[in-house]
Amino acid sequence: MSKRKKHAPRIPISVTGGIRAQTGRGRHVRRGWGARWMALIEKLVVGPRLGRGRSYAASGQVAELQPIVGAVEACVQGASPQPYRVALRFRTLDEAGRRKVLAALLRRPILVARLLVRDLPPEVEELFCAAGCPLVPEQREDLRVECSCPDWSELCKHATAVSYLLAEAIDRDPLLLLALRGIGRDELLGHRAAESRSADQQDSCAAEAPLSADPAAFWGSTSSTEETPTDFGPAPDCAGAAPLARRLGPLPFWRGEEKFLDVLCAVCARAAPRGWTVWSGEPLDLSRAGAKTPAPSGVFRLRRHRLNMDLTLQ
Amino acid sequence: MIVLHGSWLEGALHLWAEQWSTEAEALPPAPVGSGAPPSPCDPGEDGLLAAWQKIPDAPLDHDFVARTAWLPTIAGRLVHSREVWRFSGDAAAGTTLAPWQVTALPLSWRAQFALFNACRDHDRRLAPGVTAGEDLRVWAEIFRYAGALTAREAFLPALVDCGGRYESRWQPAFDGGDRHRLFHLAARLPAAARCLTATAAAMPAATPTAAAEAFVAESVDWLVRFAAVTTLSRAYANKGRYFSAHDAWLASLRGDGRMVRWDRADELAALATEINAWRRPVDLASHADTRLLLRLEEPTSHAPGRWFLSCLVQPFAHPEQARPLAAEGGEFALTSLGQAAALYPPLGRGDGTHDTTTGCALTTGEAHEFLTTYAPLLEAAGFGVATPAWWRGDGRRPRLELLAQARDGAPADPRRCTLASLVSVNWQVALAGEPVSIEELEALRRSGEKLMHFHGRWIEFDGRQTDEALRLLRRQKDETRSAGDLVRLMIGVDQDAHGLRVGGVAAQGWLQELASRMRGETALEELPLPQGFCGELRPYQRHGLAWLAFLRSWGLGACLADDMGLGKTIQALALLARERERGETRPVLLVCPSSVLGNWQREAARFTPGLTVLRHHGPERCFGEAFVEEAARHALVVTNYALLPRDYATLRRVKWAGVILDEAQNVKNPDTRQSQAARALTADYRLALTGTPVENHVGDLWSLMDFLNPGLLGSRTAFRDRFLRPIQSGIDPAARERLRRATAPFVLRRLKTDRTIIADLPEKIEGKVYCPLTREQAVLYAAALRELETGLSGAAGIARRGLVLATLTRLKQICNHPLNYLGRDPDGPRGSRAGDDAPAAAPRAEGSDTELAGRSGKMARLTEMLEEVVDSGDRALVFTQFAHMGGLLQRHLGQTFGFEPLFLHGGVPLLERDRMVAAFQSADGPPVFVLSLRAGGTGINLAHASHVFHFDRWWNPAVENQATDRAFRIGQTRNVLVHKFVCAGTLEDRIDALIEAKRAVAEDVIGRGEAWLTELSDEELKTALALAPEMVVDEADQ
Repeated sequence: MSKRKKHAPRIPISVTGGIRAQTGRGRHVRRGWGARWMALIEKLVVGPRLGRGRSYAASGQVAELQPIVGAVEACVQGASPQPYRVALRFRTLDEAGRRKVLAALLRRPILVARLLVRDLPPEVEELFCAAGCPLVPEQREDLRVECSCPDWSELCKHATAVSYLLAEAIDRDPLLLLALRGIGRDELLGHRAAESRSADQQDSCAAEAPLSADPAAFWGSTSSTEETPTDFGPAPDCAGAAPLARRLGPLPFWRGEEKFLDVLCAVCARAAPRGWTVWSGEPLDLSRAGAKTPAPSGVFRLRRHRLNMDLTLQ
Repeated sequence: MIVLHGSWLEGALHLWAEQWSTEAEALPPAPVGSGAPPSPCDPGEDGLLAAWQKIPDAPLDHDFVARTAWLPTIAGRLVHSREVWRFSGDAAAGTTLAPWQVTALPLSWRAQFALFNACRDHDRRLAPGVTAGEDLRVWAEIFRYAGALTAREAFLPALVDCGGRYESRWQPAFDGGDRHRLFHLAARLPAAARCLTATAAAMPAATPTAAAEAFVAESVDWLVRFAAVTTLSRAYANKGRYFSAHDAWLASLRGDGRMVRWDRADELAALATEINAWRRPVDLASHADTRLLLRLEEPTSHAPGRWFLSCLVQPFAHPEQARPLAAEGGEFALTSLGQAAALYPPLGRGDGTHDTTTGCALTTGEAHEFLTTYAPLLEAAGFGVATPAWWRGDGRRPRLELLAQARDGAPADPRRCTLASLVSVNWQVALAGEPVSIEELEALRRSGEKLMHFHGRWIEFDGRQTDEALRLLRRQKDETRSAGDLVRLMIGVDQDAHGLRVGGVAAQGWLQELASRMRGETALEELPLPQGFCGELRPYQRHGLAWLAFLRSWGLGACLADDMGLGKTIQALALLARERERGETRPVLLVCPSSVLGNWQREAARFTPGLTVLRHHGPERCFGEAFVEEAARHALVVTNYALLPRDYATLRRVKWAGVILDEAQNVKNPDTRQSQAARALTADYRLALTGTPVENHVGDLWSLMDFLNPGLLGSRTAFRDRFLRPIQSGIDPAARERLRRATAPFVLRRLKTDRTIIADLPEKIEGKVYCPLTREQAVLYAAALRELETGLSGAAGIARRGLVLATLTRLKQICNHPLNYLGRDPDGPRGSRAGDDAPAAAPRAEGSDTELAGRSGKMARLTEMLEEVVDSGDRALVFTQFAHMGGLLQRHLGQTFGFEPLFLHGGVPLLERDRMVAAFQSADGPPVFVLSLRAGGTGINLAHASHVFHFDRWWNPAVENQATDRAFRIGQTRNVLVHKFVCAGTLEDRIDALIEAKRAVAEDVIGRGEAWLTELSDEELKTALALAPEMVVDEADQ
């Protein structure tokens, strides 16, 4: 392999719609769990591969990324037409450690609850440390890298690119870290997972009557003109807060150019006043121009409390 | 009349219709061939299109389709929605569902929006002659529910696989409570709402809940999409090229179509999976029968200052059975907890267990923050939040209050006080009703806590409010305010001063008296009958006069909303007489519909003959300075609603003593020009008369109140936010009571059924209703008279008698309605004769409704009066001696009110007649019953009616009374009002006067028929039949 070839790598085949690093070019995760994971990678990577990996991650060269228990498998588009297959394999908890950690988590429901919504309480890491397997790999022995590219070094740029994306993924969903270290989501939930699946199937509505042939029931009673207002649920508090989307947090592995939650909030802010109009029985302005009217004041008293959650992650 | 129905089929609301005609009903059932027979009630594409196009803004963006409707059928005959009353009880047993072919119109979202814009409130009528079926009204209600979900932002984006094609959707996210609500709404859907199928092969399968849910999903999607389009930048939308499936999806969510423009299906499939995984916690919640409940518990005496927020699992079916969230709470409960912790970080501390309950301990400051900031946010996100009972809606939770002590520098003569008089007010600060000193307040302020335990209860402190209270206390000086300000506080129109809630106002003297009278706590003194008022006032009318005079003396506007027939006109006239008596010389402006102009003139002439009336109406009316001078010479100027905005420039030049609006519901829409003009007029006092229950229609109240007392209910926007929306949407039940309290001092409404009123009323009250003729009627009338004149010259004996009787009939028909005279008989222009007991023409044969409305003064007045009757929930009988007229009335009223009145004429078989009577007596039967006098007079019991209208006259009081008395037996508890319609200035008017004059000897002179009229001499006859031209109104003024 000539010196020249080594220092001027071929330009990779560009990919559209690949997974793009969301934290911006050159400003990769510098804090939190992902940052600590990257610290290990930076220690292991030799030469300019770090920068190349970063730009691969930013330009969406990673076409596929599949975390499984104990490993991450990925496809990276490099210079050759055939994408390279990359796998990062991790050291997992031993059996005794796993039992200990699981028992401890069961005693503190709030820890599992926070993990389920992609939050990682420090207590959880302490548990893993105590079991001899810190959540974030800190040593060379914790990690084994495989890549189908011809690069001889321990960490090629493809694996580095995957690592960058993994860092983001970890920050978005720390359950991933637990999975990499040997405790998958299903295991964490244990019998709870099974229970809630069966709840999925359950339908709350009772069996319903077929069409009635009785003319009065068929055409409907004509009398019920003035009744007490139907209960349509509680009053909304703020326009544009997108409470459900905020409850769910950002959509993982976002590849869009617009910021997902921003768009949702903007849509909510427009839609809520229209919903109000319909709800209170006023006529809906059918011209598009009406869409720009600002939200009415009064009931929307919470606007100033709008929390800027998680928008940075996208 | 055409009735529109909406049925859910294949992902769209399909509009179809029913229309009836006697011909169609007579048709034998079509033979059942391969498909379903066409429905005899189907209006066809043209009929449906015509009805659809009458709905405002209705777009036509889909094609008509033929669909099968499964309709109730008996013996091969279709039972349509109008005849339901015929099949109540046993008769229903024989009905089955059979397929019929109907024309249907699948509605686009835009069409749906336009339809539901038209289908609002209590009105069944969508457009003239077009009525909404019950199913459509329930759909409208469910549509409002979709609006509520949208307003609560309870929706999430989705990517749906539609058979290999991917579509973007905004999907409603129901929580368990929402699912319950949907289920209840769906249960109200009549079967007609899902009776359509594509082919006649099988009955519809969709359950009501499935149909309702699909409908809500569609509606939410389009409501959001419709609003979201503006968030998509045009350049981006037009580019049409996206870098990823994510971009394409996000753009499609805000586009007019749902297609996601991305060609790689595998990527879309992967994205759909990701989205579903992301949505999973909320989707789980929508199927869960429980939810996470966060309950804030107050500190106990063992640990003061330690609040606890406990996490519970609450079943929707039994909200009271919440149980603590345990470790094995399930994925859903745990995920909910995690999400709640993300929204409310202290929960995530996980520091506390409290009697094995998961949760977190809070400081008092945190508890306050939770209550004010996070509780509503968590609730909006679908979590249950239980706060202590004392923490209630915004206005009523315990906090600092002001107590006002009014010290009027009382002038010796309370008569000289007005609402503008200045009063000095001393403010006190109170907590839980007890005054607080400066020192206490300062101590509380220093502690800096937002929640304080004070005298055994928790009280919220707002720093700003506390500062304001301190400032007021330190000032040590009385504040000067107008009496009006204080009165508003006292009667509850205003609730705040200086940013603090006012807990009470103490006043003495006239101010106290004024407020207590306005609140109705102190009875008003009865006033003597004013001089110049000829007539008697019943006790409740005297009270009405006292009330009117009381509000007038303070320059406050009053709305007299007594039931029809209780004498609003008399009370208003008595007030005018009283004002004149007290030295008023300026004129009063009265605005009323054209149809009652004549009535007012007559009543004024009868009860207040001293008050001269100027009729500002017709082409001869004065303008400008001439009008000002003319008006000054009169006590009362009457005009109609059409002229009010047109002649506003003239009308406003006069210095009015007062402005009276009769039938004030005419100004209920604040955007109309007549409403704006009415509100712009200046006068010393304002009075509104209406018989409709104004308080029932919240939206209509603002305009009326703003006319009466400008600014009382605040601006329109303020009114909408403070009252209209909270009430209409049902989110704040207290708002209705607040509104009632604020308006009650200005509205007086007595019902015929009030115990005190009944005692004052005779069992039967007869009154005449004077109606104008339209221009068309007048022309026909004059022509008929000319014909008579030429005929009379040569006739004698039997021929003369016949001619006179025929002319009388003809004139009566003209007074009823031009069509009653012109008829539709191909053999001659005046087909129907008196007593002709054939039913009226089939609706379609006679053309559109425009041929009915606006052509008869009587019909216009009847419509107005029936509107009040129906609005008040009363029932009415309408008698006419012409069966043809009865048919016209049935058609016109059907088009106007949206329900088909019953119509009994000589051609109705006995069995049918019994069913009609039963329907009228039943709770949900049509409230109006039209009878031809002859058919009605056969001893049927119609005790439910409290109003009887005689649309035309028999000219023989004995026959008339006999017929009506035989037609109904008056219930013991019910007073009956009899309204006899008379066209002013016509033969009806003059013969009526003749009868009144001769009443004593009626039996002898008049005998038992109309024959006596033929005995009059030519000259007498001419005078009796002549037309007084000033009683004619133009159609445009109606």
